[in-house]
Amino acid sequence: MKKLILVSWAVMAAHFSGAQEKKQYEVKNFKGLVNITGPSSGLIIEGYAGNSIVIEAEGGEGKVPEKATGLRMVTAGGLDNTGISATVDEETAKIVTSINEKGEEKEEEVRILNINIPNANRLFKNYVVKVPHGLTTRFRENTDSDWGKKGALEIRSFEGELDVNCSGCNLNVTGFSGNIIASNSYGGSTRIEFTQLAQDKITSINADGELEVIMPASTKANLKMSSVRGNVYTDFDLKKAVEKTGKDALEPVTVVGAPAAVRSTVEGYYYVDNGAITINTAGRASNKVSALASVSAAKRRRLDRYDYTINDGGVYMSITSHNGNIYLKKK
Amino acid sequence: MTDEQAMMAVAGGDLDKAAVLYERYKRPVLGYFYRSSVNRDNAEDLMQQVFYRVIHYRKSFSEGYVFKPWLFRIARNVFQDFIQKNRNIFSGLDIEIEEESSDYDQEQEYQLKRALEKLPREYREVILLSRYEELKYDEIAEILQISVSLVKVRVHRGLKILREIYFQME
Amino acid sequence: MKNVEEFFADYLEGKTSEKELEDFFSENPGSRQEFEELKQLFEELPEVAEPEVSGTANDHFYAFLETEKSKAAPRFRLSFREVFRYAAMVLAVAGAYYFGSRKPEKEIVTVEKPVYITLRDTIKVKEEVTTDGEPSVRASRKQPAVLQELADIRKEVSQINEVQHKMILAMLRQESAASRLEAINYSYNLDVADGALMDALFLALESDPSVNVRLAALEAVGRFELSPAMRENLVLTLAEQRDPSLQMALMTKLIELREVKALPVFTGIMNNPDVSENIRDRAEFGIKVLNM
Repeated sequence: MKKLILVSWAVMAAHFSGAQEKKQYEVKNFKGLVNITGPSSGLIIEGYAGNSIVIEAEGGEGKVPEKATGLRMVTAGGLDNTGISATVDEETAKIVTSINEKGEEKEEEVRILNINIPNANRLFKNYVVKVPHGLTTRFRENTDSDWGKKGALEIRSFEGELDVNCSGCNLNVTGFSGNIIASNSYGGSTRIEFTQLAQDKITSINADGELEVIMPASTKANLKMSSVRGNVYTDFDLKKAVEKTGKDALEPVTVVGAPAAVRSTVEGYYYVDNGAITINTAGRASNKVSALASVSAAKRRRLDRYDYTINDGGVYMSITSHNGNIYLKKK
Repeated sequence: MTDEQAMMAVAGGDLDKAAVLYERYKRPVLGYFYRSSVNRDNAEDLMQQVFYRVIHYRKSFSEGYVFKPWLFRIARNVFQDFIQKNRNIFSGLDIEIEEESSDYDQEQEYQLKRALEKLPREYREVILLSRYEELKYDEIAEILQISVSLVKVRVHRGLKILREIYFQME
Repeated sequence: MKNVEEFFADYLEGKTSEKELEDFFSENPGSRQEFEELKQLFEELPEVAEPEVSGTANDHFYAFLETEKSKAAPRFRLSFREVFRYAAMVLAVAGAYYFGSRKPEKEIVTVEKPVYITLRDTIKVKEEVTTDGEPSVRASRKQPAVLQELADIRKEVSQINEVQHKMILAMLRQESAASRLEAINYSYNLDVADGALMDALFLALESDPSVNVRLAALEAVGRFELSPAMRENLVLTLAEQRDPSLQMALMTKLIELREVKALPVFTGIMNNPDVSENIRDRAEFGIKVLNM
């Protein structure tokens, strides 16, 4: 794993917007994983249709002392290599990107951009990180971001996979399209408004306080939804998922390659259950599977444990809160 | 015909009488497994194993035995074997719980069920046998192969723990 | 003199006389309320109605009874369901070979006895006989092929289990938190976990970068019977955990497991002023239960 500091990539662009001086730092043409560490209040992460990572900040009241001329600031996140008190470095790592049917993994070298945003300070405030659509992004809190929980962590117009953990922050996600793995423990509030819920990857939202999830009325999902101490409210038409047990929990498996005589006679379901084959020859004529032998691994048994379905079911989505109410609303 | 007469007949080779016992006890035995957190399908399998063993070991039933505790001892053994065999899957927590309801009584009932699930097995076992199978303490002692006073201690302590768990959940 | 437990148990069964009760309560002030409360709790335990016995189960029982009546006690111990499942299957398969073929000189009948097949190692089949009691040559020649097929399937199933394990392990190493969560969900497909999978789940519980994944891993390992070493792992994880939702979930699990080794950690949490109140409450409750 090699690390390189991206000082050379720094593109400093200062421009004026209104009265406030805005500065930005850009990593051009980035494709890979984005790791953001920063304050959980007063930060905006914004998805956009571009291909560069852009970090913006407004100038604060303070000034860099004269004695610091020619020096770089050291922040909690490291060395300021962006000119706006943030630290950015890139690494590459081999990660598992796909797994085939046999369980063999395929590793690929992937670029990872680590961005460290400091708390708002005398020099810079109101940080915005712009992330191109489609990049998997992770947000973690600064260890020293405790000071002002009153602000919010805003995530806007994001498209892709987002993994965000904070504790007691006011997490407000709007115009989200994709799948989100979010945890906001220790109080705070969580609001997530989907434009579209990805169907190919699961979503899991775990909150401690109040949790509001807003989705298009037509969203398909298998929901696991509960609040330990609060209540759950919704205007979606929830269908209670029937918990399947025993045979019914298993998917029929297609088996091929049996002798003709067998194929014509033994018809029914073949279930793979804990190392034993169950053959159900009774009834179920409408959905016959014939013949013996090779069980296709692709049709593996799935037991996603969910409580409800909406719009006939879809991707697995877990929504839980410990102490707060849950509001699942149609958009 | 009493249970004991029927079973003595089975032991003597009149297997048709086993049907009488099966009809009388199939549901209580199924219920025993079901309430012990075994899912429906497995519970039915286990119930069948119990009657299989009743027939298979029919000769071990002799004069002076009481049928019901004898039957439940077999059931308990079958259950033990099942747990042993399925150590890895048996979490002991898959009682199916109906949908939560806002109705106070149902809410309370739901919480009680949850609390009961959380009770350690040795306590839950005596409470289930006593409350649902309506077995007497000495019968339970015989089934579990422990002393009557230990059964009594477990009833008392089990209810206390249950109350503790229940109130905590509220 | 009876001790409290015995007295209570007898009281619950209604075996104590009025006088005995009054004497006991006057000797043990405060016990009256407790007795009444516990009795009420006992009586209020919800009815859990047993399900109806299915027709299939009844059929199996009676069929079994018939075969028992007609022969000595069987040598193999199998559940009815296993017996009849394979009996039906094999007879049907065997039947397929006769059906449509030229009618043999001697009529072959299928004996109405179950065929015992375990999917473990041995496969035993009752012989097919001709009407005059001789073994059917056709049957003995044909059946092994069918049984071989069954054995092949069995082998493939165990291979699938292996693949599933490998698949989950690989998925847990993926960069995407959603994929790792999916891996954990996927582990619910397995009824048996091997050591490597348990290790991987514990690793996820202890150190996954996503709280969601750690919570899901806890739920997933909780499904299995945990060895003392694994339980200790849970205690250590709790000691190191700073995320409140995980602390809560771990404490709940350890209370459920009645893991007394967790007591010092619970005490530490209860006395830690930096921890939120509901978590300290939970620790306090845990201490009470574990000391019981």
